[in-house]
Amino acid sequence: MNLAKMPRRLAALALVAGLGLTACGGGGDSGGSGSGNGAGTETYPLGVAMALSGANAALGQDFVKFMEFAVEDANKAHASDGFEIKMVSEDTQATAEVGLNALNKLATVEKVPAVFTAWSAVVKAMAPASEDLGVALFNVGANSPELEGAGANLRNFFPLSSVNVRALGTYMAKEKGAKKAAIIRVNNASGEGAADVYKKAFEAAGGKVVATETIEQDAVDASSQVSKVLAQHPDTIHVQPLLGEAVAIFKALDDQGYTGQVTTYSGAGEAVAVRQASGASMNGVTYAALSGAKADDPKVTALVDRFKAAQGREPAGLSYDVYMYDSVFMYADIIKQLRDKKQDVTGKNILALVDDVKTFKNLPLEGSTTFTDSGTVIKDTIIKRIDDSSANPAADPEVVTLSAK
Amino acid sequence: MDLLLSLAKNGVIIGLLYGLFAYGMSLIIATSGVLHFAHGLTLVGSAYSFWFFFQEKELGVFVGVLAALAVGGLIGVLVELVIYRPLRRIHATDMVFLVASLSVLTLGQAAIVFIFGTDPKSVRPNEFLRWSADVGPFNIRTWDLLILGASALAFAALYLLQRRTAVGLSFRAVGDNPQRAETLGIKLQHTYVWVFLAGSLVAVLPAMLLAVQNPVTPSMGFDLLVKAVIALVIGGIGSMPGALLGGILIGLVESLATYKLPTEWAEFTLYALLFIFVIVRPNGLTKGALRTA
Repeated sequence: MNLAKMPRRLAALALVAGLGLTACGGGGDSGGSGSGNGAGTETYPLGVAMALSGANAALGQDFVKFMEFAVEDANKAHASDGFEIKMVSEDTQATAEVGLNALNKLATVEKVPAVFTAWSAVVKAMAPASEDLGVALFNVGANSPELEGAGANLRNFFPLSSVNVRALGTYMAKEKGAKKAAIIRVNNASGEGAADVYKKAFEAAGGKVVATETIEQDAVDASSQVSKVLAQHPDTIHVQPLLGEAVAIFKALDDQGYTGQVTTYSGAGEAVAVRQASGASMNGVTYAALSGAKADDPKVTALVDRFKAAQGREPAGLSYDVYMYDSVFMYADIIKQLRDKKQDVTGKNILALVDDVKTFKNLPLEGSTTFTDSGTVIKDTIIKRIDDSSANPAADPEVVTLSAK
Repeated sequence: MDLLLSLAKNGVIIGLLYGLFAYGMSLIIATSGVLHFAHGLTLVGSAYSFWFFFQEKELGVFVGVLAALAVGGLIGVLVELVIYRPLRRIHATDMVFLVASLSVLTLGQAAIVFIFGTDPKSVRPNEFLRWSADVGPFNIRTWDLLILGASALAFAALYLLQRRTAVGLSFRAVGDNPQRAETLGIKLQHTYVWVFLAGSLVAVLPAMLLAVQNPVTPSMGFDLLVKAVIALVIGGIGSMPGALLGGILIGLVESLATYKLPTEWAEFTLYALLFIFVIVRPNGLTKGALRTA
């Protein structure tokens, strides 16, 4: 192809299309009884589909590391039960299309009975496909409220934002007396779902959401979004980002001198990279943390120390990592119970057991978790405040705990 | 009205950042004819160097800037010497240059992941960088002033370079007609090395500006690369003033479109503008002149 000889409009289109290319990165019941290793121990595969490359890889790689720790620990704990778990991980790049490829490979090539995954767009895309493939799909790190009932084979082990963002919206209107709120959210399914939940909760509690603006993932500047919401003079602004763009939002709010209460969720509030890059502009931000395992729990700090020893840095999203760790122990518990019942470890049997048992005790960090009839979990919400963004999130003072009941 | 003015100011600032990145790329394209997508790697590499020496090793801002300039310039020159020069020798087509350039970008990003990991790095903002003040209807930040200053510096420096120096004049001569330039005694290979060095050094400015405002990640700058390419198409591929005009125009369109439309429509309006230019004015605003590599 000689661009000089090519018609100009075609050359221009080819140029943009070529650049765009670089950005891209059967039915039945899957699984079965585990395979023996010759020493009388059965091995059961666990499919893990996370973002291992791309913009979200910092979180995804940490998730996998914490799950590796969990597999190691769960295998020790269940050594006398005669089985072990073998983790097989695939990359989703946090996108629906790559995620579907990962699910297909895990189900058809690796023959896993269950796939653990995260990121709302990925989970949403995988949910119907998991039914066709006959695998149990566990959401262990996505929070879009749209995931409730999104598929017959989907169970949400991670609390959806319908829990903590709803609690935060209600709290700001009812307890803090905010009358007008604005929302700045990332332009994806997770951001849209959470913003909708916040709006409904805030308005049900007597407030009014006067502006909602979106920002693209990893955007470098949020000045326009902030200018637009400030023009509506809100009492409070709720920020629902993913990672990179969060910094742009907090800095723009600080630059433009907003003095009202800024709120966000744990994914941004506890993200060390966001806090470091935002600097003092994040001080004073209030966020909804998930209860259960707390960052200052000795078991959590021991796990963080183990991570730091292995990786030489702090984990990027601790509030998620504890769920990753516990989820593996739930899987081990499911395998044990199925084996006790002399049932095969298949996608169908896993789902039936979860729906039957509902509560899983002895999770190392959270203690226990209970699934609702709609396949989600309910947790209390802790409202925390960032006084010093350079400090460990565990040091953030608790403002109030809001009961899920 | 205040909101409109505020959006216009935001648009000009972010547009200058796009333009600044596109400017270096345009200089390279205009002179060498190579669609140098690996320019994105220059941006990422120099941003990581700035972060590493300034923040991680705490060697001061001066060392950080020098390291970023050195790494940015080195990447540009190495890509020319190791990738493009051998391709020129075998008379590779423009498509081969394009694929090679994209491959360098992808491989380079993978190398950065291998060295630094995928977790975002950050240059913690100090009081100087956090300063802002209201001036009339505008909120002016340190970052805005740095972008204005860097843009003025880069545009003035490249203008003078191209008009007052032998090297700059050779850029223009080779860009116009490399065969004729060669008959006039201009050494093509030397000119290409110099132009990749100059264009890459310009990319170091937006790299450092991004690093002080946003997390540094291996994929950073890809969005900027896309916007820069759109700026080049709109401004005129290979045209220096076009890169600047295109950058400011897309910054303004992206920002002002949100005055009445929801912000998620900003990108749509940008691509709609690109589509209009491709159909109605494919040469861009300034009728850029792309030649073969």
